[in-house]
Amino acid sequence: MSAINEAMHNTFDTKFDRVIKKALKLSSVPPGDLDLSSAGISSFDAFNLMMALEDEFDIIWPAEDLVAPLAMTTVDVLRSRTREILHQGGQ
Amino acid sequence: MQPLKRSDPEWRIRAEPPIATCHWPLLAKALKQRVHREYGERLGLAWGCRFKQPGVLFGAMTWPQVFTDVCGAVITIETFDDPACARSRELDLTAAGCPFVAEVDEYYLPGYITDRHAVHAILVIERTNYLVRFIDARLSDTAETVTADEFDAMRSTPCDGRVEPMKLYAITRDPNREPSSAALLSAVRNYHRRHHAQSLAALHSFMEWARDASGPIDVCRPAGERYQSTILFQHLATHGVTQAAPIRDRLRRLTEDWYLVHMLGTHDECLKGRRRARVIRLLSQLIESERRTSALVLQ
Repeated sequence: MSAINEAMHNTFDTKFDRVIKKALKLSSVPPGDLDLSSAGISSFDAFNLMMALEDEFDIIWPAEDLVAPLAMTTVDVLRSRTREILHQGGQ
Repeated sequence: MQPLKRSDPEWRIRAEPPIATCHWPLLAKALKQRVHREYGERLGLAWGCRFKQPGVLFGAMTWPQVFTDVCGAVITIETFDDPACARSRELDLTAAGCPFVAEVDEYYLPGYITDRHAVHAILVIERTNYLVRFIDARLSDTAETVTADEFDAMRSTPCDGRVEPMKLYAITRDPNREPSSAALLSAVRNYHRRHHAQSLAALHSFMEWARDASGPIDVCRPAGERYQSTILFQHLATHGVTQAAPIRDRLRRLTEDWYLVHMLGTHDECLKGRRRARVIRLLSQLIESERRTSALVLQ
């Protein structure tokens, strides 16, 4: 990974971690394999989290991702999908 | 205690029915008490759209007519601008032995500890000038009692989700026949043949309104109608109607799409800019989904 790419990567992760901590009212960054629904996060919380990610990264989620926000089972899956949308040009 | 997984059956049982659907199980409960037959899965006989006022899209609200055609029962949907007229009608219904489902502000219901003023449906068994006995299915099957003054307050206070004033659903005539599954499907098809174009036109007009306006886009009522119709087609699919399963699956997706539009369209953060544009785009896609669903029903 080039230095520039690595810097961008870190920036993304830092922002993502900040958003998820704030949206889920956590004191620390949750583990990547945290299952969102098992952790007691409601669909509404997950939806609000996705809205916060839209604001942070200036992206717009495709409708199919919003139908069932908890279908993005873990923090890592959500992180990866957010990055994917961002790289697609924010939809 | 292990957290529930989404695949656990218990999760599905615990899940609350979605908004704008709580009147149907109460009507089914009242029908069962009166004629000892299950109608809960057979009420969603019609779905559509009606655009009566800015900001809110209504369902077709014509399922009681189709229910009358197939079962002989009469269920009326009534609203009242004047509280005195509402009270008079409620008293008459009790005097005639007719149960009714009433929309109330849950804030005033016994057993609720909440600051939230939100609309909720209860089944009224008895309404007099002094007291009201009712069942709130969310809490229990046991009848609760409040004073008539308390009931008047919960009926008339403005609250979230109350769009029509003092709405009620009354069962004024009991079912007198047992429709076959084929008769139910035929009734649904006949309804769609006659009303589908009108419903699509209403949805289109609503979308045009939403595109030009800036307020919330409330579509939970049509979503609730599709939810109930999904239950009907699930019932038909398990009762030997081979055409029912694909219609059920399409209605289920349609229901999810409607509720998504409602969630996005009423979320404070989604009412302008490209987020609003996304809602409008979804509404536009719903027109096509509705068209395809009806085509499947009429095949």
